[in-house]
Amino acid sequence: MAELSPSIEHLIHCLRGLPGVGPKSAQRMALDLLERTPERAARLAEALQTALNKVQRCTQCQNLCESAVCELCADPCRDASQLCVVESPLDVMAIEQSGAFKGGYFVLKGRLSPLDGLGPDEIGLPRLAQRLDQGNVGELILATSSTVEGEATAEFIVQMAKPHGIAVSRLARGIPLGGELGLVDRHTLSHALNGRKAF
Amino acid sequence: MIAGNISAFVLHRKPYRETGHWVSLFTYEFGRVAAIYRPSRKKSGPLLSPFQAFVIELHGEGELKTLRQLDDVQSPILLSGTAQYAGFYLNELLYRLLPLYEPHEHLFQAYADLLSRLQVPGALEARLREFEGLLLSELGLGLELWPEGAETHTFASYAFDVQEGRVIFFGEHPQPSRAPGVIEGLDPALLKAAARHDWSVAGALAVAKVLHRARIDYVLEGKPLKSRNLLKQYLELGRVEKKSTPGR
Ligand SMILES: [Zn+2]
Repeated sequence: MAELSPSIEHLIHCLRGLPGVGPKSAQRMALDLLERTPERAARLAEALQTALNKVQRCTQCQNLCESAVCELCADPCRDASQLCVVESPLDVMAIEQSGAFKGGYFVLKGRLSPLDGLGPDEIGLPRLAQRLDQGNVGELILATSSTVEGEATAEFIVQMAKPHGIAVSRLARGIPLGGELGLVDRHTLSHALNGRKAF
Repeated sequence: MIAGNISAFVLHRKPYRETGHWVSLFTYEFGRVAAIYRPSRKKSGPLLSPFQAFVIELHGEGELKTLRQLDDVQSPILLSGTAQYAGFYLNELLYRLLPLYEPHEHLFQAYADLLSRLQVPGALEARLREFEGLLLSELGLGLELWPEGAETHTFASYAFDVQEGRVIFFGEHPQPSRAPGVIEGLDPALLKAAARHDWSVAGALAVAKVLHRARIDYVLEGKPLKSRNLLKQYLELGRVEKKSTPGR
């Protein structure tokens, strides 16, 4: 195959490695943008630049937003003493869609994963420590994932919260709604048993 | 190559493409292996989780294998508290030190045993030191805290040569020229105790910790072990808590 020009190669290189994008898809995307839909390519470039300029992390909760304090943190109707800790902005969206929570959030930059080089500093735990020091958090709800890394993150935060005497709870894990026991894997089942609630 | 019925632990995994995983495995049969795993969409298999013994099947000719068939053979080893951070430490050590496709059956067995005992309180430090020692010597990375059968010389002074990974001793008059990477002023009684894993001798564990650490850092060319830091930070949080509790 003939060589592609250096700028096309560079574009392909930038696209690959995006979530779900392998070398072949990166090539297809780049050529499609340049060959068939140059207007869309221009819009994409502009949108990227605008987002990069405007999007920042909320100084309170580390969620992505376009002002110093995000809408959720600025909302006076929400109970800021209740803080739900999640791993990513996507998790905030998911919980918001459930409509079941009216407190505030704290958005980590991922979860503790030492083999990926992610320690407490990298995922933004020092900022959470400051929030706890300020003394207006009364309850922490840990909604990190149920992977070993998510567990390690949760336990680390539990330890951080202990000297403050803050109530800490972990999101319950268990049987999906409408799920039959026989179809649930045994890890989920054992967690569901461990986390059972009294009637 | 198709190899089935392989005993494996997951050391590390990363997302790969849309639905797959890149996995680093520690296997009984082949040592450390890198593979791609694409879970089946139809049935939910076991989670690709560290600290869990699996029986797997590997396919492929290249260095990067394809992982098919993943069965969890026992209940997962549920680690919590300090034990889970220690587990990450073991995994990072193996992930970074084990070469690909070099079987280490003895080490595999020791790793499996240690994981299952990690949650048992007490003696965690001792177990970690013993595992570090075994790992280094299994990989030929040398760790001789006391030469076998050597006598203690009353007037000698003892040091640890980090680059060589062994204890050296000088005569009655220590050389004034101090080489870099030499830890000096070591107590021969503690070195002897550490070499035979006699942790009842006060101070032996501390000496082993310092020397193992120096040797591991040297082998890793100074690149920090993130999990060791995490374990330390977690333990420090616990200490802060203990100190502040009585005052409350
Ligand atoms: Zn916010």
